[in-house]
Formats: sequence, C-alpha cells, structure tokens
Amino acid sequence: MTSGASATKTFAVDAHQLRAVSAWWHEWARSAGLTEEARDRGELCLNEAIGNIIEHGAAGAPQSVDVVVEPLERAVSVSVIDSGARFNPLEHQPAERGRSLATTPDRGLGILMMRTFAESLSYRRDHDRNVLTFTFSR
Amino acid sequence: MELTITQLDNGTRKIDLAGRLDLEGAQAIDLKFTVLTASERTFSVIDLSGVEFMASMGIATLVRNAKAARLREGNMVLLNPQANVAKVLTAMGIDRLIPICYSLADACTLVLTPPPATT
Repeated sequence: MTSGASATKTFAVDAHQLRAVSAWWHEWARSAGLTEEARDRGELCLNEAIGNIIEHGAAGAPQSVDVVVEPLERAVSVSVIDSGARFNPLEHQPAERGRSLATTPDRGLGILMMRTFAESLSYRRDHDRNVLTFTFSR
Repeated sequence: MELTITQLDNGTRKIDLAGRLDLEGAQAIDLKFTVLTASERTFSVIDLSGVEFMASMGIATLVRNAKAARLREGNMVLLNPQANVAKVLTAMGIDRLIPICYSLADACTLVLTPPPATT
C-alpha cells in the first residue's frame, strides 16, 4: 500500500468482515501518517457505516461494499459505497443521548456514533449506488 | 469475544469481557450476557480491561442489559475500560448512565449502592 495514496478495497457485507476492514484501514492509516486518534476515529466510523448496511440491509441488500480512502491536506475522506437499494442513513433521526438510563435507546446508536466522531458526514446517490462519506482531521 | 465469570464474596458477579465488542463480538455474547446480567436480580461488575474496541452494538448490549438489571432492582457498573473504549463511552454519554470505576473495590461498593431515582 503506497504511503499516503488514495486506496480502494472491496469487502463482503458480512459481520465477520468488519475486522478485516479495520485491519486494512489501520494499515493504510499508519502508512498515511495519521495520528492514533485519527486512526481510531476512522475505524469507528467505518465500523458503524458498514455495520449499518449489514444490520439494515434486507431485500436488495448489497453483497459487497467499496471503501475509498483519500488523504486531503489536513484531513482524510472515507467513502463507503454499496449498490443496495437507496438508503440514506442521515435521513433517519439519530438516537439521542438519554438523560437517564431508562430513556436511553439501545438501538440507532450507529449514526450518533458517526456524527460524534466524524467532522463531516454526507450522503449521495450516484448511479444506483449509495455513497456515504465522512471526513476527519489527520 | 470472550466472557468469563467470577462470583465475588459480596454476592457481586464479575464478568470479564475480552476482545472486540463490535457487531460480531456483541452477537457472540448477547444471550449469555443477558442471562448473566439481567435475567434475575443481579449486581454485575463488567470488567472491560480486555475490550480492545467498542462499537455501537457493544454499547447497545451494555445499555439494554443495564436497563433490565435496574428494572429487576439489580445494578451494573463498568470497570477499567481501555483509554480508547473509555473515550467512546464518554463521548456517547454512557459514563453518565452506567458508572465507570477504575478499581474493583470501588466497583463492588458502587454496584451495591442503589442508583439515584433519576437514572
């Protein structure tokens, strides 16, 4: 993996593949010179983005997902691309941090996690593919 | 994801988790964790020192079972999360809902202390 260069990899949409995603991400992130905090943020967001596809994919669920990482001057852009049915996770109301345990939801926390750890989060539909992109400082 | 159980002298159950509490890890322990922490009145100390990664599914597992434990008049506290895991728990506000301790003695004392009515 060339240090600091953009990279793309395809993974199966499978809970057992999430660790392979993390390993690939960490290898790229180290070669790109990201701080430990940035590597952790990226791993969290990637895990949640792909985990969301795994959990919510039903009929028309994609079999694979492309992860595209692109170093920017002071940040990193990561896109998760799948060919499933249109699904914009940002349209769904994220869970809110509860004031008490009783009122805290135990579902829908993935988007909240991404909003918490990514500096920006965006979605677009591009040629029948869902593209979820998040960025964070290096 | 590995789960080991120790019954402590004060009646508290210490549950050690080790590995990644991601989608796969949470699914691996879900049923057993629920049985151990929430199927009856139980006071549980969840040792997170061996947990290397915490995703939303892991948080959901903790929240769901902590809620259930309290409904049964039991309780749950978290013990010794690694720095990266603690950061996630704090950023998500979980530390205000399920206490986090950094000594077993403190955890054993706190878990047996009735939580405030507002939590």
